[in-house]
Amino acid sequence: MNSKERVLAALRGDPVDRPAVINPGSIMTVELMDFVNASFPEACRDPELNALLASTGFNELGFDSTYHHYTIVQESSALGCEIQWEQKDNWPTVVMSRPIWDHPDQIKIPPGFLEHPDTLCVLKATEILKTEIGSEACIIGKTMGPWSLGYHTFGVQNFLLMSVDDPELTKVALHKLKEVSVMFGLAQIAAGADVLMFPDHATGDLVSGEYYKTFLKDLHAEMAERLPVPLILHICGYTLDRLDYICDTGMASFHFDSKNDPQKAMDIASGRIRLVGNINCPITMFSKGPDEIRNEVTSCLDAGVDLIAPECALPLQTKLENILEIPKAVKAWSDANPKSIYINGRNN
Amino acid sequence: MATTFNETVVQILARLGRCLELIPMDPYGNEMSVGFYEKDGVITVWSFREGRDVDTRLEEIRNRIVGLGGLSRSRTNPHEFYFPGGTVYPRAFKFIARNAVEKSPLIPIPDGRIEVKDLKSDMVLFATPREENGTWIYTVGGEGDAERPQLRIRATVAGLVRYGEMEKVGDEELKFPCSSRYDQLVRSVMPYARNVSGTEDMLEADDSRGQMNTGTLGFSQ
Repeated sequence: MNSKERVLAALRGDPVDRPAVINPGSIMTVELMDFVNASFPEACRDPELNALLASTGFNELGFDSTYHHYTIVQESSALGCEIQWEQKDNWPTVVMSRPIWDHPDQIKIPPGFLEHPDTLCVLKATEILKTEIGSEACIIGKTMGPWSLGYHTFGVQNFLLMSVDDPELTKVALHKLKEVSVMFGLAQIAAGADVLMFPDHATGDLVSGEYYKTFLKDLHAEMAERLPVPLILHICGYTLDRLDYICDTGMASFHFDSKNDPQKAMDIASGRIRLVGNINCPITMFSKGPDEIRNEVTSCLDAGVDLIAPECALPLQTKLENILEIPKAVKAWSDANPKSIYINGRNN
Repeated sequence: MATTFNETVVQILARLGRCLELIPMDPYGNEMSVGFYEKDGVITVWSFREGRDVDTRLEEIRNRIVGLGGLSRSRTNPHEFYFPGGTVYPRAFKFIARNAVEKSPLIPIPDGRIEVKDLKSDMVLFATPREENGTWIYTVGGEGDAERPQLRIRATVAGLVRYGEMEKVGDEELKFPCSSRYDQLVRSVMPYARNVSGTEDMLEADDSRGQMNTGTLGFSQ
């Protein structure tokens, strides 16, 4: 079983030879940028550099996947948002203090959205990765969900206020914005993405579980139908209060945050959705060492978390030895547990 | 995209050891990342960037950090050095690593009495080394006006414990656990030790850079 087969089987709940280790988020660091001479922000905007840097996750770090859509800004840049591209050691961000729309009537996908340099970069990089290592590595693409795009294009505060003041208008906005998600997602699938990450930042610290049900549950179910590859829904923060709803969306998997106990999450999911996660990034990966990382990986595996991954994008200054420890710990656990649920498969 | 490398990342790390400190961008080295790796007590200053300029800059950093910390150079490798007392102090090392990379190489390495101006009074804080039965002990004192000088001195002692990894041997006296003499290391850490809250803010700001979370992405209110 190669890496790609392993990831796709794990997302289906089929037997695997060992638990899959994936990165539905960036695992790039400043040292990897130097290793292949492909630094941010150029590596976010040049397809060759973008793909070269992404390939290190598979070739050098031993993950089963690649992930080259490092930022959360590509679609919003193509929609017309102002972007702060930052430097090598920081993430590009959308300047949300300068929203481009203040009413859903204004929402319009610009002609040539997929030919914009920042969306085109992702698509071309997908093609490169597919050609170079796509037969062995699982190529994970990403298309941002409408809630996240709402933050970017309306501004966080304005969007949240609209959701309180006029829920129906907010739904109109979400239904228009979801077409961006679908268009970009389908283009990445055509370019060679095996799986799509679907971040939609209805985060625990900003919106409630009931909000998720009201605004996003049905919409996410629609995404799972319209995007014909396994989707990995990502929502940061505490999400156990909405996991039950998420399980009903038909999404292949949910990428969950370390604020959620792996065992409790598995209990709620109860086989209805695959869980991906949830190694803590800001503390464990960034400031602890291999021993602590191994402990967290082991906790996830003991709980039966379907695919092991960092909870979100790794800090750009993460030490390489810490990243390498994730696949190492998974292999060690797997060797020590030859009859685990992973080997037998969820569907058996 | 097809590229081959002489060594894999795994092979490089096996050779270098654990990462003690990572500086994301060297302002005097074309913004390359600079890592300090330790194996069997030997520390290597390293960058995954390649080139002759890189080697020269890494040697410059090695020389500066040796000067800033009172450390010892390897005789065989221009990028290697070690703590002569044998024990590595990672927390104290953080400060000299930052200074060696991020501050101008033209700034002379300080010498003379170990002293620093207090930020909260007109006092000058100083540390005086003395040897006692093979152990080097540093006494912290102060000169000049301060409302409650003993409080400022004790705060600095606490800062040296926190950031210098020193041990208290009296209200105003400290030593390194290995008992060695590290005047330069104490000199380098004292500016941070005198101002714990400011140093904590600085460290927190450093740590949050490059983190992707709802705060840094602008999704927090």
